[in-house]
Amino acid sequence: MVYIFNDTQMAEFKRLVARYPEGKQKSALLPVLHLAQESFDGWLPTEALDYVASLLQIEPIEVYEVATFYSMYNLKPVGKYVFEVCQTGPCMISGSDSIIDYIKQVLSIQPGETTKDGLFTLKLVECLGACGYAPMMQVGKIYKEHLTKEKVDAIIAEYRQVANKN
Amino acid sequence: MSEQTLFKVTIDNITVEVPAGTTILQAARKIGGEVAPPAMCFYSKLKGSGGKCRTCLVEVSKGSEKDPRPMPKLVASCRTTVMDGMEVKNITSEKVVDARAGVVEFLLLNHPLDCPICDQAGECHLQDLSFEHGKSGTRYEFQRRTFKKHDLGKNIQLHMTRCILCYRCVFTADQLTNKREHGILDRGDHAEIATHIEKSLENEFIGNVIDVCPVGALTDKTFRFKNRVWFLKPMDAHRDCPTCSGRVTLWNRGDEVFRVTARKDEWGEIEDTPDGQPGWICNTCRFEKKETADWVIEGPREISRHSVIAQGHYAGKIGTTKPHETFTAVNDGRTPQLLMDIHDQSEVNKPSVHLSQIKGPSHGDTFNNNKA
Amino acid sequence: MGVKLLLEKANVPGIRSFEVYRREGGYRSVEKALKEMNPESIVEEVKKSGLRGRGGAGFPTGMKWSFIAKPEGVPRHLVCNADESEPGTFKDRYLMEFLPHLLLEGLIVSSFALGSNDTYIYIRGEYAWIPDILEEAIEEAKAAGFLGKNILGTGFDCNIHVQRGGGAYICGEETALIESLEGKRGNPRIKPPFPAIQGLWMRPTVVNNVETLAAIVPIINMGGDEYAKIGVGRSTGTKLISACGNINKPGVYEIDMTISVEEFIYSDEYCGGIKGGKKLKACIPGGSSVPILPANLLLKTAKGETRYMNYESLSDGGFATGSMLGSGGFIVLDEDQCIVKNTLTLARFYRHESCGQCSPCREGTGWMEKILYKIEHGKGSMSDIDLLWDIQRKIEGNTICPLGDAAAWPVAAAIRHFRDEFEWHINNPELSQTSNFGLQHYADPIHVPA
Repeated sequence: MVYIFNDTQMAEFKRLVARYPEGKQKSALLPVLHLAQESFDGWLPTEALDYVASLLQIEPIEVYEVATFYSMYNLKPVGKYVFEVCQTGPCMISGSDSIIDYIKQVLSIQPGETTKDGLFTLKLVECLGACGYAPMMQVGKIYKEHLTKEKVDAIIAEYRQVANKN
Repeated sequence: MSEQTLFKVTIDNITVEVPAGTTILQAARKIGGEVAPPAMCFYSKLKGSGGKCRTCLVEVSKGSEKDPRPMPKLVASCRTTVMDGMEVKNITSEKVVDARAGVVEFLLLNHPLDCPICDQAGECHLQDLSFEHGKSGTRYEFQRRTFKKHDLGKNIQLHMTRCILCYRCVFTADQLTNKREHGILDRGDHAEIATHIEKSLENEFIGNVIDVCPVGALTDKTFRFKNRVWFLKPMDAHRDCPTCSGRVTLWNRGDEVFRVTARKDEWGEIEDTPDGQPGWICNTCRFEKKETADWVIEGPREISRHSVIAQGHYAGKIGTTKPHETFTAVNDGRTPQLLMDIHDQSEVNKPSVHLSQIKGPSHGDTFNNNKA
Repeated sequence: MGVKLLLEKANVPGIRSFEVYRREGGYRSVEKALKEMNPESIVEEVKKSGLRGRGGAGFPTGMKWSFIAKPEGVPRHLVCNADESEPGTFKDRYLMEFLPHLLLEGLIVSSFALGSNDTYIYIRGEYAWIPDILEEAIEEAKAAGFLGKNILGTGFDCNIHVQRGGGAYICGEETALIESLEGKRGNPRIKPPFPAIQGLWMRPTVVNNVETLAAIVPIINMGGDEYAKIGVGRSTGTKLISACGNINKPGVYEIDMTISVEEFIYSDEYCGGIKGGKKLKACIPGGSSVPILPANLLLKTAKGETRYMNYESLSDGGFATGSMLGSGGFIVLDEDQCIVKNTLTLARFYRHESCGQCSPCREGTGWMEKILYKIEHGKGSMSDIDLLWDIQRKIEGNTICPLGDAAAWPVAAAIRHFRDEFEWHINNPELSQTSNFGLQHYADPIHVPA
């Protein structure tokens, strides 16, 4: 895989950098890393981090430091759909444990693992700010809230269907 | 010279006058002794350092003459500037002593007990700190943290398990080299010093990270396992170096140069050169000039008599007096009978073996080969 | 029905669009502020309103604004803290999702008051769909002349930019947020210097919470004095409470701070009582960092007086018998919940979110989690409880930023009020794995809904 933005991605990159004063382009690092992750298979290998560093004209180590600090950047390959299930207090008292167990069981994976077909990754995360709608998980850009076992089944089936179509 | 505003500050009941803008820690160092709080992360020659380790916390019992209210929390003395009339309690505050004991415990929580094989032993700030403020036992019963090993090249050895994340080496690389290649990766209790990609650190001034490291996380690979620092004789020396000031301390045993470091003051910081600049040294001086002939020897380096390096070796200034022969003294002038000639038992101590000439860490094979 | 200042129009269909929002009276405060007032008089109104920061610390907003340095020729910045990550808190998300123009309106007025021509909204990275909503709203406001160059012909220029974070609770701390906004690790800065002097790119900066900035709109519209009449004492105006846990109606509620905690939990207008008709065991009233309170101390203060949903009443009794309003994240636990397990998940959260910069927090949070894990899994000993107490005590107040305190307080309060439950876990290592301590030993009257 070549880690270079296409024209659309490059236009978005330029839009992101333009928000900051001249010479402060490093400020765009977090959004640009999100852009890179979305553009390159959902994760950030060293080549992608180096590419971001070269675009922002900063040292690679400055990118490594940031990419490893924040929890949303995947530094290892992940499945097409990452189930990020919240396990903090409010979700826990609303039954997140049983949802996590259920996902482990139906997908036959442990947290941090990806299904053999490369479709699903299970990730346990801390509070996502949806405590009133617990238990919940994040999949890509969206939140799936008020989870039940049935709802989990439906979500998995839905994504399988989408993946099969493509 | 423009007139400087002087502030009066009282630390542990001792009053000093310092220029405005001085930190509590620097003012306390002016008084010296126990009044100076310990500092594991602050380094006066590195801009932006300090505030992180929390060992230098002090109590401000009076904010200033103008606003005498005490500060609600303990403050990091290395990053808090004095105000006129400020009153500070360091070792006279129970709160401080208690908090500091806590900080020492936190710092030692995941720190390995490998002092017996650590090259920093004897000049380790964490050793000193735990001796002064720590407890003999640990209340931590869980497995200590470990890290994936990283190789930083032929000169610098990284032991991440020993690191206390003072960030000094990061500031050093930022401020002395034009391209920083290592940094702090990950976060929380998994944060580590690393390069991310396996990479050796080659910058001409990067060796200074060894001197600023308060623990044995970054040590000199060319000195690794070669000798104990307290067996070595520190000598001030210089050479005409095109890159740096060339003013160093040689760590000798006999005529052999085992190690070269920058010159450090009583706080363990790099000394300034006569022109007022910090005396950082270059890699060539540090790693490559290991012959006495490379240097102009100025004389023995003064070492605090409290330092373990001075213990059992010298009375008074190092090298000025012949070492006191304790053994004969306690034996009432009688020469004890030699129980065992160590050279019969171990190749390592044979006078013909030049330890400093051995490349890399030495072990049994090195000496067996030597025999042949 | 209580007074609604922020969520009054939340249910108007299409309120997310500029057109509807404007038709409903939106952006009046911008016209008033930019045309009839000046920055100083706005700060004065905010001071009069008694508004306190809604992010958790409760610092008076007007005072914070008056600290901003104004050196000649140096740009100043307003930064909106939308890094809402405190467990139990999801009120800002609600505001941004449903009333994006209310936030923008507050931001424009505040930017004018502070002299910020480039204002940034730093939103937590996980709220990935909200920047799109905000950016659409910004475009609409720009097209209508409320943003961009020469707003409403007054000569004031203002642009609002939205930046997504990367997933880090610590970036809710204002100096960590600034670092993150500069493209760095979210390590809190050592203060001083304070952001009001040297903040974003070393320029004078004010960082305010989303709800705080939204509250500027009613303050300008009705005047600071009128706003201060709502509420009680130093708890003026209205507060958004995000209620969650074992209640019938979790969600975001706007309250004027005169209602009692009991009314908030049991009335149908708000939480609607405990789910499944169970009994109330405990509650964390202001986001996971504040002390947990057992039911008896939650509904009444130690003196036996009714406890109200405001800053003063919730903190009545200090940490010994009180708690804090904090960010308004109201977490309710019913009789079947295990305090040890709840405390463990919170300790794990803080360990996970510690930036690792200073030693008490980096090492202490992980240590507390490990001990709590041991106790929860039936492997604890009595001395572990005292050890936990000692660790939290040594973290509190000794760290660079408030995350250390935030990690210490929940553990301290759990031990303070529920020590017998910890002891039960230790004395019954097997039983505690299969059953629950429940409400036994709590002799105090626990509220039973009629």
